[in-house]
Amino acid sequence: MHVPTRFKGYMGRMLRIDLTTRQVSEYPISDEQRELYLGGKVMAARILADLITGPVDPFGPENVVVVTSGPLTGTGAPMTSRFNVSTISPLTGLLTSSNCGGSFGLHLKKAGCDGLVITGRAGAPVWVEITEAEVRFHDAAELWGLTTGATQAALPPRTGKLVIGPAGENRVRYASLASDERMAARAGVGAVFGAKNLKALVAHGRLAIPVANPEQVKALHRGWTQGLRSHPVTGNQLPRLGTAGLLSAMQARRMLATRNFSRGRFDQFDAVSGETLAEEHLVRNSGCTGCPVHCGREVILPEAAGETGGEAEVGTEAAARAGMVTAQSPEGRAGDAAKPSAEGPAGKDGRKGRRVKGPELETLVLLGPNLENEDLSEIIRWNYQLDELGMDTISTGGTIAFAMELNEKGLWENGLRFGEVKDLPQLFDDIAHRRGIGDLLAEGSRRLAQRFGGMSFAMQVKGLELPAYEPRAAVGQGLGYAVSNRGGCHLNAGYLAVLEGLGLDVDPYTPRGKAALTVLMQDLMEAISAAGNCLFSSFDVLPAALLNRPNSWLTRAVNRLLPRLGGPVALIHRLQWLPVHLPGLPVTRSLAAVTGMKMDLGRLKAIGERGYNLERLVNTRLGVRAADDDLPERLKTVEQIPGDPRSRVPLEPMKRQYYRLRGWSPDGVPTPALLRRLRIQ
Amino acid sequence: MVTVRLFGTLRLDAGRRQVNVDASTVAEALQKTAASLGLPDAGALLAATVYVNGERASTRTRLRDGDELYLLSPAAGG
Repeated sequence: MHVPTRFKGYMGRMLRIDLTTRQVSEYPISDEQRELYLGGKVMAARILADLITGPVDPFGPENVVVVTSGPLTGTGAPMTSRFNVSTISPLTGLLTSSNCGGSFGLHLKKAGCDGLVITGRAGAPVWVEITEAEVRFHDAAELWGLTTGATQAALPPRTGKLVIGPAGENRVRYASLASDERMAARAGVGAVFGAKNLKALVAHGRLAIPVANPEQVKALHRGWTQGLRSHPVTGNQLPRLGTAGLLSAMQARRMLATRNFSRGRFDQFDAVSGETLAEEHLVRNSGCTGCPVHCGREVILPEAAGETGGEAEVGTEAAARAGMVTAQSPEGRAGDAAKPSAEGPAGKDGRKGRRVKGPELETLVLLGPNLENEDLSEIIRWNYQLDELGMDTISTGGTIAFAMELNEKGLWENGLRFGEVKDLPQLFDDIAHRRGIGDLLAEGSRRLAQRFGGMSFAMQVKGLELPAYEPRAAVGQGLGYAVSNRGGCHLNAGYLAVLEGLGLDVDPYTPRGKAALTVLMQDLMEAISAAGNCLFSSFDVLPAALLNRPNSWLTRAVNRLLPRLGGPVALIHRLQWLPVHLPGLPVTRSLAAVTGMKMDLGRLKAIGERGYNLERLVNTRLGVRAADDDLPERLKTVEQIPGDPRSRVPLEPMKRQYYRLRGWSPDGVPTPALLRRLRIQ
Repeated sequence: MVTVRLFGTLRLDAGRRQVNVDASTVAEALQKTAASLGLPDAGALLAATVYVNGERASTRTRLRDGDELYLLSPAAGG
């Protein structure tokens, strides 16, 4: 039954699609729920909390996929093309959420939908088309086996698409989804699509997205965009260096995951740095729809060694069948001719060939230093190949690094060695098609450890491989990894690395104040994501005056003060009443102007807290307890800097404090009183 | 002689990856690096985070022949 909404920014319709019966109905969302859960991953957590009441097989028809946009998506607010995919992950067995900047969310709203709730399993491969008028089921037999790029090319043009590649079809536990060139990559959301025989979602329509106060919205968003353009991170670093610009700072701060997280620095880091990527490979910036920052990289796909051009060396069987993938130009090699001398200017001339999306920071680190690989051209090729196969670059790199160390320690003879990477393209293809050892690697590092041993150096949390930040040099980031609902994820962790050296410079080795800061950051990031925003849209919350002057007395004072603010931050956490808007956090004013809801910092934070606890609630139903909020032994017991006991993560005391602040029981379960306070039924 | 390696947008602005200068302190190295890059003063470099041989340093840190400096421009997030 359709329940109209009084709030703008929403299309007022959430569809439930049962793939087994092909029945389509409306999933009712009330305005009270919109005020409590906003949209995006928080609304998805509410829906999953209603539908997932006990253990489910992630590959079974009983698993539920929730695709949600946010109220700001498509309203002209900067960096709001994001949409979210939540489900029960085949990698972790827990609730996961994966965010993507492709255009699917925008098109879904133009088709009159705020989101989709997908259940069941199709009898044969299908793709599903969502329009203003109807939902159509199409036979996907011809698409099955195609890469993500070939699939999107074969679907109707000028529509929003969300597709899987061969890895999703073959249920690789870390298979991703693609929308345009952007990926919803983490924790195997693509494999759940594959298990449901769902090759693609396509949305299109012409509906306008309503806003409550158009004039105010226009002025607010103009100011917000100007703020982003004048900020040192979103106006300078990200456009010029991309997310990869952080790699050299991570090297300096011993935060660069190297050799399966056994070290925090890589001697050859500059060969794969963001600066080198910009100097030797960048053709131009690219970005998500409606983004003024454009942190994406567009590069020329380099040829493989010994390649004379035109051969689809990277190609999968499916890609070859589709007649696509790697048609490289003979003159396409971006490296040697343009390579700057040690003291010379960076060359940019003579770049011709196929333009593809360049690697982001996480891909560079997990496929670079973490494998002891210093070949940037190879990483560019692999990034492209993995996107086409539909496979998460973080988990792929993390799982292979673990397999290399298993081989080195004699626990699993698999032929993989750190620094020897020429055969990896074939291995990626084998993983995606579950051939040979690829079938085992497709299971992820935790399942490999259960089979071969080595759990103490399987770099995962709750089954999800860790991203690029070595937490022994950022212990608050380590706490975040351990308690994160999603598992080893830097964003769901609260991303304290930004305060612990990559932005501000709070002592990265002290546990003091880190639990309170983690709770605050997690809740805010959860809510910003629920609005439909990219998290980078709120970088203004870190004042330019501090970032631009890291050596000033003010910045040094803030760095010293923050760990001592655990008490006040905890107090802010408990306050439900914060009727203010922060100058660096325009999302609250924007939400009020777009939706017509009452919105301020307190309400926004409460939405984030509600979302984090809802996800936790689902996870506790699926069996999560305190023992699961853990880190690999290497990170807790082995000093990163030999002889310096501070260079390991003191997890337990931080975790106890975190549970107290969250209002969870000592076993990590949200208490009934907390759920009542948050109005979670 | 010390080696000053540039990172972040500082390096893109300079169009160079490193310079070699004679200096006995970080402050002197920054002044000479600025001159070598043709900058009017060391203002932009003073805002950088400085590491000497992998350890965080201040403008007063003394240098020895063969030391390696990293200068990192402001960066955050990813």
